[in-house]
Amino acid sequence: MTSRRGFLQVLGSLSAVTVLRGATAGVEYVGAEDAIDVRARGRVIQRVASERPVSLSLSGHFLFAVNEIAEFQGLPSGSVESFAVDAATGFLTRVSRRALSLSATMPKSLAVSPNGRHLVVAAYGGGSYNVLPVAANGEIGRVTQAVKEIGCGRAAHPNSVVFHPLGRFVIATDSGAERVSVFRFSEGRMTRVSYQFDSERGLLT
Amino acid sequence: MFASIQEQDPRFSTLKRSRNLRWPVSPSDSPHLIEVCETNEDVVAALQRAIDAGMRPTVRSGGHCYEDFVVNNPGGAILDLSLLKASPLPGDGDRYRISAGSQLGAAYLELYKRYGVTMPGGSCYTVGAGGHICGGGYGVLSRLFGLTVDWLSAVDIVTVDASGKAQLRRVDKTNDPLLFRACRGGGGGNFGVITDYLFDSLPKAPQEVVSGGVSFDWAGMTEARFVDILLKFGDYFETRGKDEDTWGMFAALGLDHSSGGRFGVSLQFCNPDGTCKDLSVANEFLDRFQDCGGTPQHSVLRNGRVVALNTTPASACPGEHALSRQVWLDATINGSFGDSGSRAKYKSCYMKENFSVSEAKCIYKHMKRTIPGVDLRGSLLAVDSYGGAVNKPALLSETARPQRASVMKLQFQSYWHNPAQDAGRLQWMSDFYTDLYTGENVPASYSGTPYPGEHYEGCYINYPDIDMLKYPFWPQLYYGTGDIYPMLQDVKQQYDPHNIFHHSMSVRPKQGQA
Repeated sequence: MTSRRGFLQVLGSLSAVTVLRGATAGVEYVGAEDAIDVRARGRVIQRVASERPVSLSLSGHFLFAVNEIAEFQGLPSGSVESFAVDAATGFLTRVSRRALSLSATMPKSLAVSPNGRHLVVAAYGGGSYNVLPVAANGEIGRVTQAVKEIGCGRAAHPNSVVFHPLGRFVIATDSGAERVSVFRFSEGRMTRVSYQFDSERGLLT
Repeated sequence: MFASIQEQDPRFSTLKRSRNLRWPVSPSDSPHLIEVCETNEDVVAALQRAIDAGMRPTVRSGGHCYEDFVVNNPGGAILDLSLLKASPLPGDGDRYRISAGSQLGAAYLELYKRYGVTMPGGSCYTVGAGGHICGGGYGVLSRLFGLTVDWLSAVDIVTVDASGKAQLRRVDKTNDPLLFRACRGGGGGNFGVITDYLFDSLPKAPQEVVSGGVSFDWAGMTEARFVDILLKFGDYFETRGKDEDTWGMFAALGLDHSSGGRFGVSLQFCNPDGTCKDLSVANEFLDRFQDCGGTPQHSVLRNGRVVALNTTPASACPGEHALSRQVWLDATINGSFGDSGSRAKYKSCYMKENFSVSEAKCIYKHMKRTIPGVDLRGSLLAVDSYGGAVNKPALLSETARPQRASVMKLQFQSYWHNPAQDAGRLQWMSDFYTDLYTGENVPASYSGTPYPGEHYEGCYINYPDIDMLKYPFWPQLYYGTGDIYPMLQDVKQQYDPHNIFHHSMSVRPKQGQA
C-alpha cells in the first residue's frame, strides 16, 4: 500500500520535472541553476538566463518557468517567466517576468490552464498558491489571486500543482501539510472543494 | 453586524481606494472583498472567514497609509475598521479606550469633552488611530508629552495561531509583553488586527496655545540666506530647545519648492502648564529670524502644515511677535479635514543635530531645481521640531520606537493630481533624498540613506517609503541597530507563525520561516 507521504511524493514529482520535451522534434528544455538550456541531440543549442527555473511548462507557443527564489525586486516573493518558442528551431525568446504575490516565496511548481489563459503557481516557502493571467502574446499579468494555506496544523508547503484536463479543477500537493488539495477553477479564481487525504483508507474525503 | 462589500456592490469602487490615489496601481491588485466591521466580534469573525477562505487580510482604519500596504491585496479581503466603536469592556476600570477605527480628531474631541485629557498624536483630523498609534503616534504635543505609544497601557488585538484560529487578546506589560512592546511603535499590518488602545492615564490637555510664524519669498532668496535660516532653526533645537521650558513649542520649517513662491517657519506654543501666560519662549524663538528678511504673519497649523491667516505683515518688534491666541481645542479640532485625496509620495529622516552647511546647500539646490515638463508645486520638505519628552532613554527598551535622541524630524512630501506627473515627481524626491544622504555624514556602505549614527537616526515607520527596500539594511533605518527588529521578528514567529499579516515593509519572518 502506498503511504501518504509516498503518494504525495509521486504525485508531486509528476509536475516538478525540470527536463521538458519540446514540440519541435528532438528538442528538450532543461532547467539549470541559472539558466534554461535548450538541447537537441544531447547538445545545448541555446542557453537562456533564468534564476532557478525548477518547473517548466509548455503551452501553445510558449514556455513558462517558475523561479525558485525568496526575493524578487527587493520584495519577499518568487517569480514566473514566459518565453516564446520558435516552432522551427525550438529556440526561446523571453516575453515576460512577473513577481508572485508578497510572501509567495520559493515557488516549486506551475501549471498552465488548458486554454492557456492562466497560470497557477505553488509557492512552497510562503505556503500559498497564486493565480496569474496570461495574455495572447504570452505575457504574464499581475497576480489576481493568492490563496494562503492555513489551518492544517503545520506549516504548509505546496510543492506541485496540475490542472485537470478540462480546466475546471486544480489539484495540488502539499508536502508540508502532507495533503492533496482540490480547487474548483472558474473565471480565473480558485475555490477549495476538498483537501483531506485519508492515509489509512487511501481516500480523498 | 458587518457589511460584506463585494465587487458588484456600488460602494466597492469607492471603498477599495486609498487616500493616496496612486494605489492600487492596477485593477488586478484590488481586493475581492471589503469587510466593514462594527464590533470586535465582527473583526474576529471577518478575519476567521478570510483565513478559512485562504484570503489575505489587510487592515484599514483611516486609509491614510502612504504606500500600498492595504489596498494592494489581489483577491484578498480588506478589514475596514472605520466604523468600529470603542465600547468599555469589563476589566477596563478607569482606563481610556480609543478604538482603532477612530479618527484622531474625533478621539481628541471625545477625550477632551469627557475627561479634559488628550494624547500627543498627529495633527491630521482624519488619520485613523489604528495605524497611527501602533507606529508611534507623533504630533504637535510630542515634545511636551512624548509619543502616544509612550502612554499606552494595553492593546486589544486579534491574532491568528498556528492552527489558523483567530482570537482576541488583551496584551500589556504582563500578558504577552513582547507583543505589547511590538504594538508600541512596530507599525501596522505586522502581527494582527488591533481593535482598541487602552491608556491608564493621559496628559491633561492644554488650555490655550499661540501660533505664529515668519514667511520668506523665494523671489530674491539667496543660498547664503537660505542656509542661515536652516541653521538658525536647527541650532535652536540642538541647544535651547532641549530645555524643558521650551517643550511646549512645536515648530516647523516648511520648505516648499521654489515654484510654490514662499516658504516659512511657524510655531505653536504653550507653557508646560498648558497656559500662554508667558510667551517669552515663543518670542525668543522668533527673534532668531528677525534679520532674515522674512514677513511675520499670523498663521495656524492645519493638518500639520502651517497656513497663513492673512498676508498683512504683522508687527515685528524684537521680543514681541505677532502671535494668534486660540483655545487649544479650537487649534486642534480646526475643522480642516484635508482634501479628498491626491497622488502623493513621502520620505523621512530623523536628525540628532543641526544641519551641516553642505546639507543646507543641498536642500537649497533641490528646492530650486526644475525638471522640464514636471510641475513641482506642492513639493516640500517639512522639518519638524522633535525631542523633549520623546527623548527619555528608558522608553527605548519599553517601546518599539528607537528614535529617542533626535532634535528634528524631516518629512519629504509631494502632492499632485495628474498621473502623467508620477515619474517626474518621484524622480525629484528620489534624487533629492539620495543626494542629501550621500557624502560626509553617511558611511559609504549606507550611502543614500540617513542610517542611524552620530548625525541621523533613521526613518519613521509611519512615513514608509518602499524605495528603502533596495537596501538590505532597511529594517535598521526604521527600527534602529539595537534589539528592536530582532524582537519584532521573534514576535512575528510567535504570534503570526503563518505570516498572514504582511505587506512590502512588514517585519520579515526569520530566515527559514514562511
